[in-house]
Amino acid sequence: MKITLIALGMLMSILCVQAQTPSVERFFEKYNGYEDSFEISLQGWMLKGASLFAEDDVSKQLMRKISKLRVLIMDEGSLVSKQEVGRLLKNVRGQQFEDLMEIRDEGNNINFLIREDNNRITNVLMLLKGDEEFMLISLEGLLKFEDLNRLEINVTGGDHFKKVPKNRRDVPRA
Amino acid sequence: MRIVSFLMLLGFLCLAGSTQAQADAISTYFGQYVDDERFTVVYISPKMFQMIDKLSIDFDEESSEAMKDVVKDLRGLRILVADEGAQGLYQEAIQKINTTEYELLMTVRNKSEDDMQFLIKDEGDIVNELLMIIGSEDNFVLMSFVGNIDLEKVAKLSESFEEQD
Amino acid sequence: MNTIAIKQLVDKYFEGETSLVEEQQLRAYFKEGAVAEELQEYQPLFQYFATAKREELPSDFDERIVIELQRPAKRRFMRRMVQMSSVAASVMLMVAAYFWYPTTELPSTVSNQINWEQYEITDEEEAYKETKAALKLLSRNLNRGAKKAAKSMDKITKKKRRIEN
Repeated sequence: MKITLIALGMLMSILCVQAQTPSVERFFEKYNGYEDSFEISLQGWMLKGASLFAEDDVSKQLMRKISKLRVLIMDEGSLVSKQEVGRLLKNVRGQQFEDLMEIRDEGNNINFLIREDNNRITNVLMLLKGDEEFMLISLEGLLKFEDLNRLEINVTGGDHFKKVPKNRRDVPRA
Repeated sequence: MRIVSFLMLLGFLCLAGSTQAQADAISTYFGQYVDDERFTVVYISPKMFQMIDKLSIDFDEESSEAMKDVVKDLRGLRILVADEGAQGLYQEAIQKINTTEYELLMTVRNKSEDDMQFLIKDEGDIVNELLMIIGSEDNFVLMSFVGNIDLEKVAKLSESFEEQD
Repeated sequence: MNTIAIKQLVDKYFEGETSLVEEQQLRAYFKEGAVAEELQEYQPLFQYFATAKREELPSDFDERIVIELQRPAKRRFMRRMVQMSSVAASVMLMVAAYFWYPTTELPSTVSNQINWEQYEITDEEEAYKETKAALKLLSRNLNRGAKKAAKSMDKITKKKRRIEN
């Protein structure tokens, strides 16, 4: 009986860890004390309410399909160093996140990463690093690849994917 | 056999005791501050809400349908405000308020403005209480709306206030 | 004894209406080993009684048996089972109640002590104004957070679109 309980406990803790990512959590915690930082966390009904304020269809849709959204906005982009961003990316890649897209546009560097489980996307990370601003968005939920499919892009030059593949297997590896 | 019945009675009492008569967060977690001089306290009773609803007089021209719609579902409003030790009070509030009872809707953390948390307590589809906690350097607000709250109506009301400004 | 008769006896046994002689008959039947297929599930039960009976009789057996004869044996056994499970059930209920409502203080006692009436707004118009102000503050703050979150999402999803064009 005891062994079953311990095993169950371990299983539960593993499941809980899957939802949150330690390095992402730490990142949020680290920067929310700063003067120019703004952090918002939304879940449940509030996500639906907030989606009404979104002007872009894609973000509107996404907001309705997820269970939790967390945003960190730094008005002074320079407060978050390139190294910090690099370290965060490295950490999350080691915690089952995979790169989906990377865009370089007008001095801004944008990264999209996802974590999936059983062919569903459970976490999405979006990072925007520029000289004047920094943004980190973390999404949690159960998304299908199709949901992200609408993030269509047609970029000339730089690392990019033309379109988010429908199937996980088709995601080109770096 | 008597011991069994006694134990069962005790068990039920424990359960019953937790479903409070006055089920609001301020009474539960901040009861001791209500009579504390540092705090400004505002209370609007269920009876008063009934009266407002019955009278349904347009106290001002701006009172909209959306406003009336929300007010008629309310059964209590309690506000606690303090300026002394606001930061500490805010931390205390967000830690104390039991997250198994209350569901966190939104958290805002911002050094230069206000920190805020919005929580609800619901039983099934109905929201019984909507809580707002605000903490800044010199301002602490704890606001509890009790009633039969429909979040959609609150959203509509927010929209109408948006338009007014 | 034929199977039907035995079956009737078994039913009677579970109703608590068998006489001692009838119980003896049942025991004998199940002990002999030639048990009908449909009655085989009862065999272990009656064999228990059979083996139990083989123990040595204590010296005060005669006195004891008189006492025991007052209550049919099976009822005692069942009653004890029920008692044990009731105790277990009520203990579990209490444990569940304790964990289900993890409030450190009994809320009902705390809230009973708060005199909210002291701070009550007694004028309808004022109450309405205060409610409106409170709802406005709530709305403004909800909107602030929600908007900022939505705009951030837009910013990132739009970025790509711009590149596309």
